[in-house]
Amino acid sequence: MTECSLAYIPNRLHSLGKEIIPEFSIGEELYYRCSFNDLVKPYQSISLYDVSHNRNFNDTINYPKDDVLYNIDSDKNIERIPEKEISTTVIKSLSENGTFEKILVSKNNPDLIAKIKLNHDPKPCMYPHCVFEISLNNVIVNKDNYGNTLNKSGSTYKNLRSDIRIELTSIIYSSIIDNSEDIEILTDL
Amino acid sequence: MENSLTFLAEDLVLKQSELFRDEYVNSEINQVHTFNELSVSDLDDWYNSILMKFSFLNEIQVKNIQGFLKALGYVLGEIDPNKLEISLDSVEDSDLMLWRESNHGISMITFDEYGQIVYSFIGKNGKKIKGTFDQNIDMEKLLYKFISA
Repeated sequence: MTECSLAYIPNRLHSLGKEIIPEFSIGEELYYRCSFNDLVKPYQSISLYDVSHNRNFNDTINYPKDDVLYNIDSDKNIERIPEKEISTTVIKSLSENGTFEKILVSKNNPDLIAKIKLNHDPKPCMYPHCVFEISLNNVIVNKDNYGNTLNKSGSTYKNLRSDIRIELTSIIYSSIIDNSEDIEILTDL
Repeated sequence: MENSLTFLAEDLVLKQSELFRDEYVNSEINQVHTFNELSVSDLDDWYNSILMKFSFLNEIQVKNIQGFLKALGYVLGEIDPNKLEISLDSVEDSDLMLWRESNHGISMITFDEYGQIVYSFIGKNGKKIKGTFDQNIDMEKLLYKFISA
């Protein structure tokens, strides 16, 4: 991990010399920076390979939610990201390994299995940074492979992306992370 | 048509919604309504605005939307559309999503590029519901599900 070069970032947020903590805890809060409209319906605007949050380690004094508004991109000449709201999500339940993992099996093709996993992902100037990592059949989806993996054409992939969007939207909209809640399937109208 | 509506209202979840009679029933039906900041006096205006705003819609999507609006047309005589507060958005630049928020959560209907009609609901308590249907779906039932969630 490199040293943080942004002078306005407080030392408590620097990652150098600190360990990755893979386990999360019940009651821990996650903070998501988004525009006001996305607080209501982030459904269509969330990318499916990089959903960044800040965690607070159950320590609201050293890791307050406002930290998520710090700009950590050295190419941008601002300290704080303007005109953004903060969505707070509380972790209600976790898997046995102390993180959030949700497996989504394609209804059209059971061989297609997506996984959403919450990972601590410290940045040099933002130690509490974490991401919802999405993988497809054990291949982590990123900006480079998105078109060849999860974003393939066809209704099978479309439906799987839709399931992922519902999960992610639910996390932000309901402000709850619950490992045990699955999507109820409606088969008849 | 009136009989059909009455039957559905009595048998579907709409009847169970406390909001229905208190919030949705409207005695004045001959007025200009607004949808998504668009002033419309009838569904034709709304339909045309959808086609203009979401030019990516293909033939099967248009057909499905027409079916949905036909069902909505039946309901406009019974319900104040201003209180429905239906909003429109695109998803992945290929699908049309109608959505509305209630006290319980957010309900969505997506008309996707493959002709699928997807109903989904996300509750404020974390509850998630999803159903994927083809064009043979009963649009009136879908509509009532959408507005009563």
